[in-house]
Amino acid sequence: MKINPDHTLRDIAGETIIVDQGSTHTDMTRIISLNASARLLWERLAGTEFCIDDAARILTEQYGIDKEQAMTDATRWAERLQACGGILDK
Amino acid sequence: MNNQTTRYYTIGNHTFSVGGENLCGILADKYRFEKFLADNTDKVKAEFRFIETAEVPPASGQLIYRLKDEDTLFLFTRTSAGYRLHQQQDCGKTLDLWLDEGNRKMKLAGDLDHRMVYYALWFGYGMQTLGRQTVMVHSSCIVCHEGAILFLGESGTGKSTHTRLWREHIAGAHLLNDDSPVLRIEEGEVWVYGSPWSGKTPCYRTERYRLKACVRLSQAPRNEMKRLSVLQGYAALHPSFPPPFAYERSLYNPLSRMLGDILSQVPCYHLACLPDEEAARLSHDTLLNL
Repeated sequence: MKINPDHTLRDIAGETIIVDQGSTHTDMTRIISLNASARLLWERLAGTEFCIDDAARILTEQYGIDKEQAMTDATRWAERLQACGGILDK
Repeated sequence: MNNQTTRYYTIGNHTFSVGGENLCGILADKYRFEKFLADNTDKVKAEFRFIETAEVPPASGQLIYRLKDEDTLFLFTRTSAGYRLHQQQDCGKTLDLWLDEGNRKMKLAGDLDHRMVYYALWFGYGMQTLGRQTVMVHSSCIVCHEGAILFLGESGTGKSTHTRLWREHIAGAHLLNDDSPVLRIEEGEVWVYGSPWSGKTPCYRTERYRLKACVRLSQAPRNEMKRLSVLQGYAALHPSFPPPFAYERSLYNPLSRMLGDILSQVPCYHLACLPDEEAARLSHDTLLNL
């Protein structure tokens, strides 16, 4: 999977959000908000082809959590972003 | 006959010039732009220019934004060196505005129809001032207690109706602009200026006020007002910023920074309302203590 290159990460008044700037028909009012760990994954993985293992590894390295927890968190992160088009399957 | 071939205007504290006999004639003909004529001392500070030309516009490349509004089609495209706005009316009249990226000179060619000229100037002004912490916001703006309040919403939501209710029922409230006031961040503070672009309401004021609040309106069977979080405020404000600039990353970057600056300083609200006096009193009383 990969991060949708049309989605731009922006800092707005202390919040991290993602805005879809894909085409003139996208609904710009659909805004995705990221917490610190979701943002970390986004920034590390943007521009790359990755799998859940890659995302989980980043979480393990950064936060020192066990692999099982990291896989659960990474899967949830990817699923949520896939659902709103922030992550593309191929 | 007005034979002046260059006129200078100051809008939102940005001065620009307009060159060409026919173009100047159109603006001179109407009292709206005349109110914004620059002082002689400001003319030397002109930041950008609009020039009437008989040249052929550059070929359009990638489409950035397309809109059909009533009888006019708007096409905003890239060109090899910059951008082009093409307007085309059902009757066959067309007007083009184009500029090279980073260039302060914008050219206009085609049928100098009033409506198309006003839109081209709005568009060009917006493009040129984007990088200078300035943006036009689709809203109706009321002034009360020496501060400005923007009422936002889709066309037909009742922005103008709500600000009319303020004028009728709130002592001292007056309209600054009914369609496209100019927001500008100056020395860290958010200011709102009147503009010559005011929709169907002839309200062309050269005043400026500090922005106190933004209120997104929606129609409802009762009156209810609540404060929005930063994220909700972003969603409330964003659709009212010029849509053509939202789809081009280089143009959206400065807009996005301004949204952040505004949201960190100015409270945003949502007002679900009826078109009645109580709605105006509710929004006034909620905002009164800001």
